[in-house]
Amino acid sequence: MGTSNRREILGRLAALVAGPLLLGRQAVNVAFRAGKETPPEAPPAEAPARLALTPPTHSVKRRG
Amino acid sequence: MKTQIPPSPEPPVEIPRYWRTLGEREETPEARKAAHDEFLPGAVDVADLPAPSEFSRRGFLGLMGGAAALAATVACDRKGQGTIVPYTRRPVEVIPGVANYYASARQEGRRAYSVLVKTREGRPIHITGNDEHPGFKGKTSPRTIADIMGLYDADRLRAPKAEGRPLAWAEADSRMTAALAGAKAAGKPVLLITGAVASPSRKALFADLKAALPTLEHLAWEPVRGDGAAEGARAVFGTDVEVAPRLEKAKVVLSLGADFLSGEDPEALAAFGAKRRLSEPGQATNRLWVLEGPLSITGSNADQRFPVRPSRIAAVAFALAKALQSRGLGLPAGADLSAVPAGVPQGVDIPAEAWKNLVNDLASARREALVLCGAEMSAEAHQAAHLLNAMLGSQALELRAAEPLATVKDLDAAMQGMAAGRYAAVLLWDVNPAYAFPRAQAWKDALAKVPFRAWMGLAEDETAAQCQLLLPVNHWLESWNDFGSGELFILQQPAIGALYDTRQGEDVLLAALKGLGAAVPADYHAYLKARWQKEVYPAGSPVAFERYFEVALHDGLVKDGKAAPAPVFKGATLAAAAKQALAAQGGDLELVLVPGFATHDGRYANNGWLMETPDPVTKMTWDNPLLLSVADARRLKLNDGDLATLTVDGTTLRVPVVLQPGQAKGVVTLALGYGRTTGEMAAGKGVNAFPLMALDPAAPNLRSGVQVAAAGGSKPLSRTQAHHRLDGREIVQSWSLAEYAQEARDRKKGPELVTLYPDQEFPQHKWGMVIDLAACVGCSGCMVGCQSENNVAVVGPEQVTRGREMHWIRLDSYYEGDVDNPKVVHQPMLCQHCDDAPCENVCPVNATNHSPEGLNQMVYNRCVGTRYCANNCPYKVRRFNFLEYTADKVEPESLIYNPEVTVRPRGVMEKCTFCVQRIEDGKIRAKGEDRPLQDGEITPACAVSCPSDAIVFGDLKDPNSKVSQLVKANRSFKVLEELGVKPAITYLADLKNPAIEGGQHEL
Repeated sequence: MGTSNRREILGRLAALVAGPLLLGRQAVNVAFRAGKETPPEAPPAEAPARLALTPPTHSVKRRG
Repeated sequence: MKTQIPPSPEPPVEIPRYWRTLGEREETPEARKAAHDEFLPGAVDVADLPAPSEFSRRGFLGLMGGAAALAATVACDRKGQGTIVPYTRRPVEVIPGVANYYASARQEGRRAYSVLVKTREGRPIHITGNDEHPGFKGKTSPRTIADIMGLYDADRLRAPKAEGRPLAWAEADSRMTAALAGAKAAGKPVLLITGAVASPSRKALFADLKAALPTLEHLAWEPVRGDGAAEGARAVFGTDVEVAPRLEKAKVVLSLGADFLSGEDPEALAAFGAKRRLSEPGQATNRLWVLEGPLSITGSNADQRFPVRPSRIAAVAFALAKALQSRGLGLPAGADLSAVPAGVPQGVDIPAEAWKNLVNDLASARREALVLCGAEMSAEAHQAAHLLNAMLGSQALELRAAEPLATVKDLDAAMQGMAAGRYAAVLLWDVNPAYAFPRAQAWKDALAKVPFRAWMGLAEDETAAQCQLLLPVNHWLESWNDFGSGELFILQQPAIGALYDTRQGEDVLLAALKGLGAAVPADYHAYLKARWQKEVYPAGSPVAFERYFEVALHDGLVKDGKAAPAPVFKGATLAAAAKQALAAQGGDLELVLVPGFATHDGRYANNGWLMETPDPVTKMTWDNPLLLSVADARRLKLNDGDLATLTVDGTTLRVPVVLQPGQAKGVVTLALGYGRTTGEMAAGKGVNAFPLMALDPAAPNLRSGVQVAAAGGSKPLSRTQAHHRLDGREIVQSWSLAEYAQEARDRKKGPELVTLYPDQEFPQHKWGMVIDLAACVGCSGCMVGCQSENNVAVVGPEQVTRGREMHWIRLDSYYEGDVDNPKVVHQPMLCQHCDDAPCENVCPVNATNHSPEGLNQMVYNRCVGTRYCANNCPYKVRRFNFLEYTADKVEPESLIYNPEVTVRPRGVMEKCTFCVQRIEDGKIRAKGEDRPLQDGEITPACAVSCPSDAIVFGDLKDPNSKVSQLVKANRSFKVLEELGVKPAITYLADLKNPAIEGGQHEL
């Protein structure tokens, strides 16, 4: 009895966790489906490194 | 939309008073449909959208539920939590969220612009004119505003290169030094080619280099600055001159093909605008006469305009001088006009009455008259214009001796020297002769024979490809310099440290000087300061030099008060010039090559903001079509967009054509600066017209004996003239002064508009705008300023062709009258912020709604893209992001964004906000200082960028505000007022002051 109940509960728990996980993965797969033709506005493959911005030396600011 | 010319030249029974396209004038069915539809046919095509999903609704909902559950599960994870730290080591100058402003300066040709640079978190993001400058008064040119894009150009060269491989600056310096020292030892010349020298410190540096390297030869070259102007000035003054119009002193202005209102000269625009903003009919104004071949911005603002072939402009000018002589105006010593016949020259279509009026105007205005000649005109035309000003004794211009510029002939001589092996080394700095020299291939062949070839510039171009050593230089926003002479010096200072491993060009030369053994300061900043201490700092000043220089940097300028003497006019060459002018003929068709509005000489062809700003006259973007008069197009059986061959002296180009109302018959026009082969944005846009330039320095931009023929086929035009048409209603109002007097006297009041809606209440402020069409010249500065301030996306030529351009403010041009010589009215059109806005009540998600201060505002994250609002907007000012234009932007391009304005993604509607971020900033400042808001304290970007002050913004709740006063003016009207939407923008009618009918005869 106890075993069957535990099995049932475990099964339900597994379904509760796995269901959303699998559905979520499916959703992700839909959004980023492999082999889909790259749209013209697709971002570049790798993002370049951030540029280091340095303040100007010797300049005198008007206000700020 | 392609305009079809109707088969018969006969006009229809009723021509609309104002029209934008030939089809609209003739009321073709296509034009009627275009006016009725909200978007152009291609704009709403879904062909380029992703295919619809195959999932069922049930499956979709299941997935959504699952994804939401997953997201909720993942959101419970604390691992991703972090702390936002703006800086680990914050520079003292930078306070996150607070803008810094630096006064600086920028050069284009001989002209230097004093500017104010706004930076956020160390990034320059917006440029305006320097408000301390007595001439610019906070205004600047559209290209100056847009040139901030050059700083973040992804194509910039980021480190020195040699033979295609990066190398360190030390090695680059040693290679340069070895080449120069070798040339010096061998006594062989070294050729340095740069742009115009407008900086006294740079000039001093060149002199130092010449002293250390006596074999140095320097050419300063500006490919589109007009050799004819230089040749003409040298003939009558013995020196190059710079002509600065002083329009505030002019009652009568005559333009001989001069486009002085193009936006390049903000001082001229400000002075012109000030004279046109009349509040009463009897007030003094000016009169603008324009004689020109192609319709220019200046021509579109003329009170009297006559299409004249450029080959006849010089003859017209000499004939005017003859007529003025007969009216008692003395000729300068040495001038002889005995060979010039009286009256209108042959082949010029100016009615006798108009000619008489022009002569009367000039003769009566005398010292208050001004004659300006276009840079593209011949040397003879420039001589004649100088003669006319000398005869009139014009006080409305300043002539200053200028540093000489190399002509196309000088470049040709240098090329022959290179081909003959004369030079040991060539240094090319910010010039691109491999693209802009008419015989580019011969130039490349000759350059290849020089043993050492070094290039200095921002981004690799056609010339860089021919050089061994490539030295990347700083953008002007990363550089030091000074400009001007005599009365006013303006200073350029960096607003940001160098983004890459680049150097200022002057620092490259200083390193070379050091290598040659000269004792020089450590860098150009020190060199500039030392020169200023010696040359500019007033002797005996009670202020220490360091403090003096700091104040100069703070203000961006120093007034010196030492005016240079004006050059003296000599008339000895005029008789020969007049003879040549009378004999000049352009043949069946003649070609005028003009600098591109966006590209100039090609240097801005990689600037998306400029390339997408419609040309103020043709409304063309991203391309340079051949402009033809409607009569010539009929004769050649060409329509808008048809491809044609253009043949000049054996060189043939294949170009699309545009039928331009107002273009003189027998004249075709092509813009320079297109057809680049390098640059991500520039490459392949339009055709390179430089190969059509002549090698004759007297008039390289004018070609006669031109052949144009249909080439078969057509090209879709990325032209906005027919976009966003307002269906068949009176949109603009343009009056002569007589009409103005009548309107002011007995203006009919329209019927009172009744509404079912309750009146809106505005408890504190009610923002409004007034646009004076008489002052607006259509320069498009407002468009570029808005684009920079509001992160407006660049969409590219294909999208513009479909009518999907994103500009929040556009310049509509309306023509009136004869297609051969119409009057033109420019009308800035932007969101009218209607009180009863029809866009608001159709939005199903309340993404667009009304603020308590009268702003029609957009909530971007609510917008679901139904486009109902755009469909219901009578002004067609809403812009939809059909594609994703911004998500792929990475550094450096993304550094240009204004952090105070949301960057909009795909599927979202957007439009003018009246620069709500500036309104809020002004309110916060006033609150912080515990004071009420001052009138004029808040100015949207379009108003700040308008050189002629045509746009006024303010609080309509304040009865004393300027905007409240102007709303009550006797020229005011609201566009489509009869719809009852209560727009917050009031227009003031355009005014024309013709000499014949309804003009102001007594000036």
